Amino acid sequence: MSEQATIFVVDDDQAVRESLAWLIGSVHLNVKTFASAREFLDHFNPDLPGCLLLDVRMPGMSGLDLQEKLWTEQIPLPVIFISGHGDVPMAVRAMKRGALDFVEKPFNDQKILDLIQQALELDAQIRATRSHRDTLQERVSSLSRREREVMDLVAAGRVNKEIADELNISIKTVETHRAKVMSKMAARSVAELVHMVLLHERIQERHR
Amino acid sequence: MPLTAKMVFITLSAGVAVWGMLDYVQTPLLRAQFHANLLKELELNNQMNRIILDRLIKRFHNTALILISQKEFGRHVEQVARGPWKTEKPLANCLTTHPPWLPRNSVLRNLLQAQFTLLVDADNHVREIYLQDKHILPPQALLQPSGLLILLSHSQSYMTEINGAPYLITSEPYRDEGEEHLATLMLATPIDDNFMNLLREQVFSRSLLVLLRGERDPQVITTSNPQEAPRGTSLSQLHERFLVTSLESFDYGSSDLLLQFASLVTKKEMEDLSRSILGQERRARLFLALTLVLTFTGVMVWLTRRVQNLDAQVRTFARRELGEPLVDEEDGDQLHHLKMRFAELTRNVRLAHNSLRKSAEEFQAVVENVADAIVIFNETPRITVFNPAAQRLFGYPAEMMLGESPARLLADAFKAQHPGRFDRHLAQGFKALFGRRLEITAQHRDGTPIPLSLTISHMETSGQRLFIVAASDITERKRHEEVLKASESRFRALIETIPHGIEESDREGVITLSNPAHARIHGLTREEMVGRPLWSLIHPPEEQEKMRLRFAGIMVQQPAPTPWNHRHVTRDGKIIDVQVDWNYRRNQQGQVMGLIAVITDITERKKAEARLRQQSDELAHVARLQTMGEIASGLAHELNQPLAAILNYARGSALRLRLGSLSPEDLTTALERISEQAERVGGVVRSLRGFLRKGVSHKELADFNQIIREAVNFADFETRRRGVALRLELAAEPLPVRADPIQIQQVIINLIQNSVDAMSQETVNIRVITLATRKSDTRKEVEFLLSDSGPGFPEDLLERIFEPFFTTKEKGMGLGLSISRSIVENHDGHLTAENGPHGGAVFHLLLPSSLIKGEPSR
Repeated sequence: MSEQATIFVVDDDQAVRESLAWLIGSVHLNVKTFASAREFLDHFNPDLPGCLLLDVRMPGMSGLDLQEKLWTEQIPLPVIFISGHGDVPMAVRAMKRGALDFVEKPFNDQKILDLIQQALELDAQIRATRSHRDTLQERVSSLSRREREVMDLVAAGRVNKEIADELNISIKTVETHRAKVMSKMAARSVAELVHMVLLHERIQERHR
Repeated sequence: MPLTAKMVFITLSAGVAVWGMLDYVQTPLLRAQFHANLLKELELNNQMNRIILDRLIKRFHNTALILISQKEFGRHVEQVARGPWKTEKPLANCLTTHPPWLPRNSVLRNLLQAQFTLLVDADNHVREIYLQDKHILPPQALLQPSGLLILLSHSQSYMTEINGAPYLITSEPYRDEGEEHLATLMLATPIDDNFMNLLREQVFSRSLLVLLRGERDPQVITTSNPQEAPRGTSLSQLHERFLVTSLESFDYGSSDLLLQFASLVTKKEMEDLSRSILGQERRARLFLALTLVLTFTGVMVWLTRRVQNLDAQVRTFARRELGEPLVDEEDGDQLHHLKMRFAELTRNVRLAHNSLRKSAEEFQAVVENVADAIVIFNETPRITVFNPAAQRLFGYPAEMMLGESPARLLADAFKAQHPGRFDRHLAQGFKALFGRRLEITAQHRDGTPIPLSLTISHMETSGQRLFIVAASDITERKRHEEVLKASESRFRALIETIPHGIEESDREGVITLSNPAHARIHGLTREEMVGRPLWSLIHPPEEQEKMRLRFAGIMVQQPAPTPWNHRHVTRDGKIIDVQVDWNYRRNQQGQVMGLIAVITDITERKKAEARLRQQSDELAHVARLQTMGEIASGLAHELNQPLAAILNYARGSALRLRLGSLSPEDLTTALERISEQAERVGGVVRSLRGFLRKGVSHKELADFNQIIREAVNFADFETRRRGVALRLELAAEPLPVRADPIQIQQVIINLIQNSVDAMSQETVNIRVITLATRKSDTRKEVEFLLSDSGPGFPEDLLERIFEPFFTTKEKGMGLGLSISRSIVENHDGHLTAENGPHGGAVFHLLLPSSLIKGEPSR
């Protein structure tokens, strides 16, 4: 973790907000509090690691609305809901949207601190995956169109001769492209390259 | 007389007449022209002869020149002129037979055609004479030629008269090298018959040539034909027998003789020639005329035949095509007939054409405008007409279907169901279908099936058999039938299943129809119901007679129907309350045929109403408890908030303490916060206790604004929980009222609760409730207005919302607004509802202002 993670607390009730900051501050974690979802969105930087403690019911944009917004904007910030008086349908909806947990007030301090810890680990994991994915994406987009074709065919298990026939180029050229693909993708073996191509395809599909 | 013969006769007559006329006119013309031509020819001849004569005369001089230029001549002359002639005297007779200067060459000698050739010395004395004819001696005048020689100074020919006879004379002097004149050669010949013969040898003309002399009436001096025109004949005499061409007068040089030269042609000869030529001409003309007449006759016969054929064709056409035989005239001019026929035919054709065009236009108009789809096709089968209605019906433009098979329009399902049916009918020429109305299913261009009602008929035109299909879309009819069927079955099902009794009666009040519910309500079968009077079920029995009379009155007066309430008795003797909603049953003419009535068993309802009345007094308290329940959850939230904060501060402090990081300042802060939150809990509990306090109406003088504020404090839990904003627009002045604050607060909370529920729908984006108070315009009342940003009330429910048990919510008993209104009315106030001008609901509460009532405010 390159940067210190931050716990974002969003609750319209000042007492609850500040008491939470106090509690979390007790275990030496960074805390930032916001009185409304809007205020949080105005200050939020998605590149920073952390997690979100979110009150469900707030005037204006509710906690669920904020979670929805993060979801649609594909910001994978882990969310823990806290609720003064939650009902079951609301909790279900929140969990379906990928909330880590849904905690009712007043809550057990140990439980909330454990959840925060869990959320921070999840966030770190997501960020690592995402960074790996971005690297892969970057490498693939550095390939020329021809190299991309060669790579796909290599991944499909074709030998050089077949690739040459299919793309109507000489074997020598295929070899050149292949070498470039290996170096650009930083693949140490064909097996690794195949793994990368498959992973990339999966990412592409999910993005679609 | 047949036309052909007539034509031949006319042609022949015309030919002969034309020929005769031509002959009469042309002959003199030809003759005159012949004369003119002949004269011109003679003239030319004569000029030719004249030229020959001139040449002949010139040759005389040329002969002299040739003779002189001979070497022998020069030698002889120089010898004699310097010798003998110097010494010797000229002799009187110096004829020589063969002079040395005469050319020996016979050709040259032939040149010398002069009668007399004389050699004259420088002194003009004749020294030698050569004669052409030894027997003819020269006249004496020639022997003293000095007079003649003077005239010869120009060395040319000339004519002169010697001894009364005309002579042609020429001379040429001879000079030696020193230009000394030594001698002169002189040639002379009489212009006589010999001369004429000489001339004749040169000319080609057969004509007679004469030389004439004399001033007045010139006479012939020599002629080429002495028999025809002997010497001495005068010109006038010549004119009698000859055609005299122009006279040519001529003279040469210094000739002292005037001669005229003429060519003659005898008149007889000319006549013969003229006649022969004219005869030939006439024969040629006759031949030409005959040829023309024959050819023309042939052509005329041929033309006549054609005319007759044409006539026959016209007649046939008129008879067969127009059905109107032309008047057949046996006599008269066939051409005239033909002309008349054509006129008649033209008229007939025009009439036929007009009627044809009119019927075609009518046909077109009918086909274009008829509502039915018209499709005409031939035996091929190819569509030839596809009218606009068909285009609309099937969805194809005409140009897409023309030439196509009509089978294409049939529905696929129809074709699959009856394979080959169309082709079988087509093979039989659709005979089996004529005169029938068929219902088949066709197919729209988009594939939609179209039920069609159609007829098919046929017609023959220009040897072609056409089938005409007139089709109309019966989708609507089918649909109507189905709708009707469905409606009837729905109606039947309704009648059969509706829990209300339905009966029909006739004008006499006898039941004619009874539905199962009607029978069931009364515990009877439907059969038992039908046939009995309407009023036979009424309880008590004495009421039945009243009803009978009332019914009879209704039948007569036909008042507006109003429901009846009766008590009926069932089969097992039970008395039931029924409501009878009825109306008149009318036939199509609008006459009343009886009644139709709906009978509702309201026994249970009446009981329920009675029960309800009993219970209604207890309701107010129940409703208040319910309101409490609804806000309890909000209250729980409100308590949880400070409790959570307290807990967080406490646990946090404990944690810090354990970690050794709790500073005294931190602890102070935490404890202060815990105290604040604990107080907050206390406040909530106090408010709740106040609200729950049970008590009868306990009116006291209070500020209406204050009551509202306290109510808002309670409602605040719930509105915040539900994401609704409350906006207060309270009057600045106090609004004193005499009221039970708890009860009025309950009303306010109820109204807020109602708005919050109404705005909980997903479609509501802005959730605001505005609460306003003010004094009324009359200042006798205080007003409270609550408006929300919800959907408002459906207009038809606006009056019902204050009814007890009326609710649109899933939960809730529908008592809140009812109780509210009763509380307000208990305070001598009014509570009404309406829809706001910009949507949303608006509640309007009026309470009497206590100051106006004259009561002391404090």
